[in-house]
Amino acid sequence: MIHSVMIIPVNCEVGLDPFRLLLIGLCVSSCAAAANAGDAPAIALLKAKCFGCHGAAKQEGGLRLDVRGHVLAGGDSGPAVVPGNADSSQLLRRVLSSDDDRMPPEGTRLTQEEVWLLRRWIDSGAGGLPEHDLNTKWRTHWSFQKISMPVPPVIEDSQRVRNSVDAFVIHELQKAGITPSPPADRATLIRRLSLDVTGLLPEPKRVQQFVSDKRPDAWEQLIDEYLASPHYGERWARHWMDVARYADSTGYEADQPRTIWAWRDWVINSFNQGMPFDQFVIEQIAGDLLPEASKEQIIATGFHCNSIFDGGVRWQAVVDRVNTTAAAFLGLTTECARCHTHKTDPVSHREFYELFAFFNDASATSFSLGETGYLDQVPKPDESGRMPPVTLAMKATPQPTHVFGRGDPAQLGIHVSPNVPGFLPQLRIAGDRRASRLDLARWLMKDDHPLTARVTVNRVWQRYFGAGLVETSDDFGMQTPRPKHAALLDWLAARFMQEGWDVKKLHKHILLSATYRQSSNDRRELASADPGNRLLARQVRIRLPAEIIRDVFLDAGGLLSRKIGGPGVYPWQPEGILVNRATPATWKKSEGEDAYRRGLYTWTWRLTPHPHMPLFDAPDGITACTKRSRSNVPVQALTLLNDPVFVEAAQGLGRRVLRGPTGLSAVGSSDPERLKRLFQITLARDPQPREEQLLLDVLERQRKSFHGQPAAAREVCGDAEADRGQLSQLAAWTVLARSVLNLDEFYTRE
Amino acid sequence: MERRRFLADSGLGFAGLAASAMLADDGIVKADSPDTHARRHFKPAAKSVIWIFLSGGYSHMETFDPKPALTKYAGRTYAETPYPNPVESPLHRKRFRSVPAEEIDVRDVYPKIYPMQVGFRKRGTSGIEITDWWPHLSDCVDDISFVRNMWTTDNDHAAENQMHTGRHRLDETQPSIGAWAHYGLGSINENLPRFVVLGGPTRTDTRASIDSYYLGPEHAGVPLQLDPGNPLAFGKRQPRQSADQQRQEFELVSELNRLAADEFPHDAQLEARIRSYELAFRMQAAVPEAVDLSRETASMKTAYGIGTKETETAGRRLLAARRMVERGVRFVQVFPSPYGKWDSHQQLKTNHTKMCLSVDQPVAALLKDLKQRGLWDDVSVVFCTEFGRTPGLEERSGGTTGRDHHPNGFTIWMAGAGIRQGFVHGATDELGYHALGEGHYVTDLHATVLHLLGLDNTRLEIPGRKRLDIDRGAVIGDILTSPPTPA
Repeated sequence: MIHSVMIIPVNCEVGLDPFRLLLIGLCVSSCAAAANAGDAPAIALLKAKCFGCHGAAKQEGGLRLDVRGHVLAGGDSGPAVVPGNADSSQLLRRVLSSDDDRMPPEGTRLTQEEVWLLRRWIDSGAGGLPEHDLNTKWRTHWSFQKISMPVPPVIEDSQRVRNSVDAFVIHELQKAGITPSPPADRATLIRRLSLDVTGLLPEPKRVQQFVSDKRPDAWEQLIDEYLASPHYGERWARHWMDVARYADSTGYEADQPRTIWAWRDWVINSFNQGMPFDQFVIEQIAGDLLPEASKEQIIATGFHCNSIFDGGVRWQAVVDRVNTTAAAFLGLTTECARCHTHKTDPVSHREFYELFAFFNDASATSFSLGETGYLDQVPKPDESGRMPPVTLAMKATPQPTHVFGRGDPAQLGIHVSPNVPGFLPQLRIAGDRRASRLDLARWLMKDDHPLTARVTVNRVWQRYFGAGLVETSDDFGMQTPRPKHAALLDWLAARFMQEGWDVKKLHKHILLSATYRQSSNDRRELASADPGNRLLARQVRIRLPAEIIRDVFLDAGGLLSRKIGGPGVYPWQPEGILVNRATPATWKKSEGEDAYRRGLYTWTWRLTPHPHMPLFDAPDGITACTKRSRSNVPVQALTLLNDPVFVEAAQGLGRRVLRGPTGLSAVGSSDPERLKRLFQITLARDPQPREEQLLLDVLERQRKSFHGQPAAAREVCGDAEADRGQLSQLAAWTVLARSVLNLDEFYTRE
Repeated sequence: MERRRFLADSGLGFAGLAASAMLADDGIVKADSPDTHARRHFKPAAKSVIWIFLSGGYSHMETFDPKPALTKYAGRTYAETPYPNPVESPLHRKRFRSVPAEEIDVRDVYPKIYPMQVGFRKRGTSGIEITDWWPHLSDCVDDISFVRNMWTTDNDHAAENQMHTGRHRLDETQPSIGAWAHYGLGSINENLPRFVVLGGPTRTDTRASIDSYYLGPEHAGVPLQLDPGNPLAFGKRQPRQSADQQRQEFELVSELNRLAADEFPHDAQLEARIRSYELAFRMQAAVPEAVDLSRETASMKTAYGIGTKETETAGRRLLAARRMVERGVRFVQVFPSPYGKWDSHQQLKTNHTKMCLSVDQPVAALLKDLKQRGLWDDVSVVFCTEFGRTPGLEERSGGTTGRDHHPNGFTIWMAGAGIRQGFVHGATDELGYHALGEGHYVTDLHATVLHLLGLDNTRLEIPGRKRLDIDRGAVIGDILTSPPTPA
């Protein structure tokens, strides 16, 4: 191998010329790791003179000199050392300086011999330092350890133990002297399950059946039924779309439209077909590289084409692909390592760019859903304005990758090849071949990988309990302590892999547990004993996500379209959302059933999303989102009461209550029976006596007041055709429907 | 709620304090909560802030930092002046980070000096020099502190977001200054949002300038329109529904929710939801009144330039801003001009003559109005932009009449509560190129504003969120009537 010192004159002017740096980088990379005879005395010198202020304990000027990654990344004043070029290295300049910035700042200057030692060390590649900080505890950090299958503890009082999940949970609860909560009633359970698994309200008829179902396996039957619903794929695809930062436009200033819904449909189908999770991941990261890749496998790679994209700034999309991969599968925040070696996690600056290299070797490319495969250009709409059927997919475009000095693409550093971080299991490649995305994808799903399975089961758990067993679902790094239920996490992860990454089986382990079935009632004593509910002595109440709130409003109002898949749709939105854009965008309101499709199909302009989305905490699609927040702001209340789509849903519900068809066994026509129907549709329960009294009273007053005001009644019920005789009745029931739809209980899963 | 509980439990410095403030606002902590000031880090100098942002980048030289040397050496290059060549200063690169495509790594440097496009003179008893494009503001210089050594790093208009979030476009976004203020402070008026935006965000891709990011949407700015009939963009009452019908609906929902609360007596989320509906109802009533300028006298409107075409928009927004702080809104972010309006790559003279005219009288009227109403000691006013403009002539596409973007030095000013009067802090070099000394990165302005509100920016922490030193900034103590004492 060529050594840089042989061909680059040591006194050449390098400055900031990226081309020269690139040359040096190319040469040095081959010898960087090799230790030279001169390294040890130079490092001993650094230790004696520099580590005191620039070492593990203290980092003056943000600089550490005892770890190679930090030396190359540098501190506040830039890289300390350019390997192979002492004269361009700040370290040397500073020890020679006679200005205020000289190093060391106090005491005697370095002797000529000492300076020579440093010069020789840098010129020969600045080797001999550890790549990572060996003094940190990453070697023993809990989440970096191989996953073993823990044995479920034996619980004395086994009554409450439905399956192994409960054994782990109750074991920890017993240690803390806390009893679990009793199960929720059956009506609450079916509503919880239906919302969690499909994102839709349970059919009133099915609620009745389940409540009176005496079979011992009634619950399991119900779980199987919901997991088999095609709407299960929609609900869980939306979770995955958060992680994948899905949107229908490119983002950035231009925010151009992008055709990628075929990927979204691929995700829905994959969930519905029960695709094993390892296949699910491998096809999304590298489906195009599989032998004889099918069209579907290429569509799957749309996962990483969801990056925001600014024409001309390709590297930012590549950075995003690294960060998304890390957050989604490794549970690591790698963003810091883009500019400097990670301060807390064992990911060096260089290793970031080794991951970067996997994705730098690929580009998002238009792919025809017809016969033509990859297209050279982004297709244009035809004469009638229709887009040809295409989607975005990854295509291999290998190219060299360099470290960006301090994250700045103008400062090209050493040349790197695709590789995985050194603290994780090695990537074993036969022969001399350059590692590919497919290698990366398979590596992620290897049995001995400590992170992918843990991170995945944790995220699934989070969807069912409002928080993961590890609360920071995107960060399993050094900052994240071992969770209280670490054994449960490992058991689920190990089981998941053992069962062939079967996602539906994973769901069932959780759903069958008594832990899932607990009541969500808050218990006063837990406020001090376990305030964050980390031990899981109860279920939690979760306000529904943005899309699902609209879905259930439409569902209750009998307006929801159940059509699955296809291009994005344009339901009603307020005026003025698309003004002030840098580039124009259109919103041609969808007609017919497309105006009432589920929220995940609503077209997403990244910069100008449908206003209900950010209002109810849908992610912005800029970076991977593994966990949504659940805010509560007054504008939400105004929106749910007054925005036309929610008003329309209430009007639909009013009609439904009054006119049927209901599917309920006791189809009655008395006010109390109708009220019961209203509650069954929306809350899956009967009204409490006080609620009944209050609402029947309101109903009576409303009917009277509408009786003399047909115009107002028509306005409220929104039904121009309504029979004169029924108008006040319809309007009054609409008022009731509006109030019930606005209850916290309605858009909360309990 | 999860996050809040997490914060409350963490007991980590300010996070705990702020969380208790939020919980109190949500009605979770009620009777014995401490008064607003007790939650702060120290005694505040101001109750509210009016933050006025001029989008596009006004020329610091032709506004508040006049440079006679530009006229003297007009037409020569930097190298041909007796001064050190600013382009060769290490500061040039340090305070300059390009964004556009990777192949364009630096913005062109325009070294030929372009003369001052307007005259200037000493004003007031303080004798501070500002240009002749500010006839009204000239009467106010004795009330103002100018900061002439600001710098930022983005050389493109994403600098608008950077001015508010403290981060360059290529870095992870941070909550905006208004969101931090909102997060840190209790509400004075429970019927209005605490963080109101007038005339903005200027564009969809500058939403970050009012956004709250990881602090959560409840801390984001609420844009209001100056139309009493429809001040809130969403959740407008149905066209023919009466206020009384709406009130009944709110009451019914509240009553039903309360019945449910009996079932879940300890559920903080449900309790907060009930409060949220109540606040929504009160807001629906209070906001139209707050934006209703017809309640102002004719002479007041005239003073703000309302009724005159050129000053109408800025006048209305600034008068509305005064109405907001009067009603206890904590942070009012005003965009008197639309996106990029001050951006004068060409025809700078025409542009700035017009743009200065559009805000001069309204801003001066605001300062006088605040004094007259006794709000001067309660409200701090910030007047800022995203960057300055190059001392050199922009020659792109044969241009001969404008200046390019210039992150290396620019001027902002502050006035009102806690601010020294008739004072100039910092300077740029003779050519107006570099902010001298350490200068002030934009987060120094944030730290100063938060300090005035009683908050210590170095102690605003969210567990699990990384804030860098550069995000925290340092208070510009020089311009405060009572500078912070070191802890």
